Amino acid sequence: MAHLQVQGLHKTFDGITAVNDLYFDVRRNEICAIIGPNGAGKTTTFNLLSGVLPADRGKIFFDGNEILGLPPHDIARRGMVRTFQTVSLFDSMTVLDNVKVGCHGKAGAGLFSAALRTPGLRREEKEITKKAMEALKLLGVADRAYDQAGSLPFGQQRLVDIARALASDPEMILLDEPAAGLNAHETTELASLILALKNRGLTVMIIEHDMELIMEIADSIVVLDQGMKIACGPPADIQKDPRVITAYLGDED
Amino acid sequence: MTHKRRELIQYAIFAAFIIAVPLVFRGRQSYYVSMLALSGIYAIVALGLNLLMGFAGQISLGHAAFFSIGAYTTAILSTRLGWQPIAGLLPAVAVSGFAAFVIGLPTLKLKEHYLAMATLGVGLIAYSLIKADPGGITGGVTGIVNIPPLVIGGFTFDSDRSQFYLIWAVAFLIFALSFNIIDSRIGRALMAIHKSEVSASVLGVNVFSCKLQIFVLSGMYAGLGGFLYAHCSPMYYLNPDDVCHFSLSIKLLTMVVIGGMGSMWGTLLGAVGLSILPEVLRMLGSLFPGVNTTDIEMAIYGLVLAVIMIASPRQRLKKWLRLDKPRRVEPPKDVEV
Amino acid sequence: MFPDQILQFLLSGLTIGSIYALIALGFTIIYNTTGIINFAQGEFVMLGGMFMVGCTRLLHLPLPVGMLVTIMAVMLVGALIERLAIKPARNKSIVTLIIITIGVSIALKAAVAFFSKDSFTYPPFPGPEHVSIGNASLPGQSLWIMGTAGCIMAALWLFFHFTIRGKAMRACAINREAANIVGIDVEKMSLLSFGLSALIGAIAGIVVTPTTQMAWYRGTELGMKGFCAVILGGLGSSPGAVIGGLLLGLLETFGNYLFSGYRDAIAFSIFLLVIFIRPQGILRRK
Repeated sequence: MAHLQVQGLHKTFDGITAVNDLYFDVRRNEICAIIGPNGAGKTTTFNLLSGVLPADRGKIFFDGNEILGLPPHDIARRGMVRTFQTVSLFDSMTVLDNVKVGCHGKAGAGLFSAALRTPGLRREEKEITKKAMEALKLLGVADRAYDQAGSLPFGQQRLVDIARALASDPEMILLDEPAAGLNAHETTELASLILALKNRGLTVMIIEHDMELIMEIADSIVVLDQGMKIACGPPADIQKDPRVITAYLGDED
Repeated sequence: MTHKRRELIQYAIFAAFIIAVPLVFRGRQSYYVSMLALSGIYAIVALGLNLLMGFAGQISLGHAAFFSIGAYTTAILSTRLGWQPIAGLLPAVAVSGFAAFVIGLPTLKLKEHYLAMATLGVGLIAYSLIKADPGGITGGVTGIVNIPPLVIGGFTFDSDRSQFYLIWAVAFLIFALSFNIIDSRIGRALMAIHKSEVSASVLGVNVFSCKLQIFVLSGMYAGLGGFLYAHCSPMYYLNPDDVCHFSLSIKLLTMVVIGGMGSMWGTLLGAVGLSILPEVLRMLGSLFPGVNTTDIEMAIYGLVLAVIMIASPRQRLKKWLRLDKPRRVEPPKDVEV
Repeated sequence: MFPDQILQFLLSGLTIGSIYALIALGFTIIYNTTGIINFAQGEFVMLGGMFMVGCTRLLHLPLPVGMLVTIMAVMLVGALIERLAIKPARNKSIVTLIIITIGVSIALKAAVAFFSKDSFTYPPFPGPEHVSIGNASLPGQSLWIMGTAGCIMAALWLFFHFTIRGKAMRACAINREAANIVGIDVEKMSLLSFGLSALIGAIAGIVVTPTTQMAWYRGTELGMKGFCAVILGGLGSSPGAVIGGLLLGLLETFGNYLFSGYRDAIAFSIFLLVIFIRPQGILRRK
């Protein structure tokens, strides 16, 4: 069974159709890229998947369970996390504390155990710190753990952003243009990082404009244009697909 | 100096201050002890309001309502039903917390305006209900008299000094508990919510539940403050104009704003400072006969609120003192980096 | 309840409801143009009443002159608030703006209290003392209130639909950024919205004072009622503000008959009920 099934997903804004009757599947442990020209509805799709926006109609199955209509935190706790196009770290907090927020759903300590610093809470805190440090190490930014998040250079903020999403041991991560604003070297590192995530068993969905990156790492590609799926398949097929070429380059007639 | 060590030193200074005040102000000056005792009660309530405003990014314009609910609950139980004063603690805190829950449940899902207006409304309603006294239990405009002082383990807290120590011991405890909360899963989630609700929610933070919890907690702090006020107030007397008036809500709000929203030490200083303000104004007022100092107090609150929010002097001061640079926190020893 | 009584309640409910509707419109105009809930909205009404008291009882100005002076003065206050308190804090958080407007409101109250803490009123405007409709009787001032409210609503409708300024303000309400991009001076619109709200508030205060008492502290409660009306009709909707105001006036009057003495509690319960069940208001779809 596919890890994620999207069936008839539809969303309009004030009469303008942003996502139009979308169907696609994402297999477990693959890297699936969503590409398309600006305004194709890629980010809206992510917003619908993660519950940030309500859909007009359609169904989304994650691990076989319907998740459409659930609040974002519930979807995150079920193992689907995401990052945003614009990195928004909690910049007055330390890098470590940022990542610890990512563990929120996995922990259970309430107000009262927090206020009283119960032994159970201390244990949980230690566990969370360990998890967060692991995520930072995986992203190679563990040395900045105790810096204020806002003081990091942009590239590292992006990595912390991903670490934060990974801290809860998700099954699936949605990355919205993770290479935007990164230099060539950083992009290469990002590519190997995403492959490493795949090797750890994660399913990755990625929106990206950097075609070279996509062709290198993606197992399958969904192409959107004006909210509609115009093609899907492995990278090699997509590259040759005339509809995709038209959508990107415009009709040459 | 490590983080932990600095924290301990701060707590020690705080405790030293508490112990010192009644020893410094003696004899004829013991009036100041009871005034500062009262400021401890306000500090407890303001700390809760600070959690709400500085960390959850919400605002309450009616905290006096929760304060008075706590005060009247325990006063009614101990005067009309003959309960032991200390037995009123739990009901006072619980009823205030429940009132906050009822207000927060519909409003906290919506924009900040709604909680602000709802709390403003609850403040006005609580005031008019307590004053009108439909059930014949609050004593209306005359209030409730002869509230018994607290008795704990055979000791009666009926002197200025004993009440001061009791109140500030509780305030100290609440202060420490609040710090623990900030430095926990919920505290981090709240700060995350404050920055971006969407970012927090996709990381698994239940935004609504966190906000509701902290609002109920701040209602409970207010109830606790009300409980202490009822049993430690001058003359053991409750009256709607003292505990439930809109101006008290504004005073509490100003304490938090003046100390800098989100700063626990600031709130503490704000609470003490504004508790002294009427006294200072009264002294100045004696120089200008015919001027009503309570009006001036109100005007000061209004202007302080507006001006601080417009000009953000705290940020400016930090910039000027070059304290706005990004900090690096010392890692604890048991964590390898 | 007898039919006569119902008619009587209907008429008094609509009278006070017209005032709530005007206050609600004031909230709506500022909210739509700037995204701010102006917690000092009730103060405009209080100032309208109090300035008018000053004009008629202290300065003994003729009624129309007094009205004009009062309206100009309150509009000036509104404009000053916008320039001194709102404009410098334009891009700050909602909570910050709430605290600013509440601070301004308290400062205004304290300023009035500084002059006098008494309640004032002045005689009703010229006309019959009482008007009988069926078996119900209505004070003549009620006609002034409902008539004025009706005129203001009509004038606002014309303003928003047929003048370039009004259309620009409506554009701000729909999308502030887009309005800015197409060249609408959003800052000027913000100033205009505060002036307009102050104008409406002042008029509400002027017409309502003869039927009640005006005092320095009344603004908070009136503002609260106006906001209840806004929520009832749906935040951001002008027709909603009008309908919400009238409905609140009616509910309050009938409710006051059933549970006498709890006028304020009734309004507030309605507010909580609405945000619980239908936070988008009665007029709006989700």
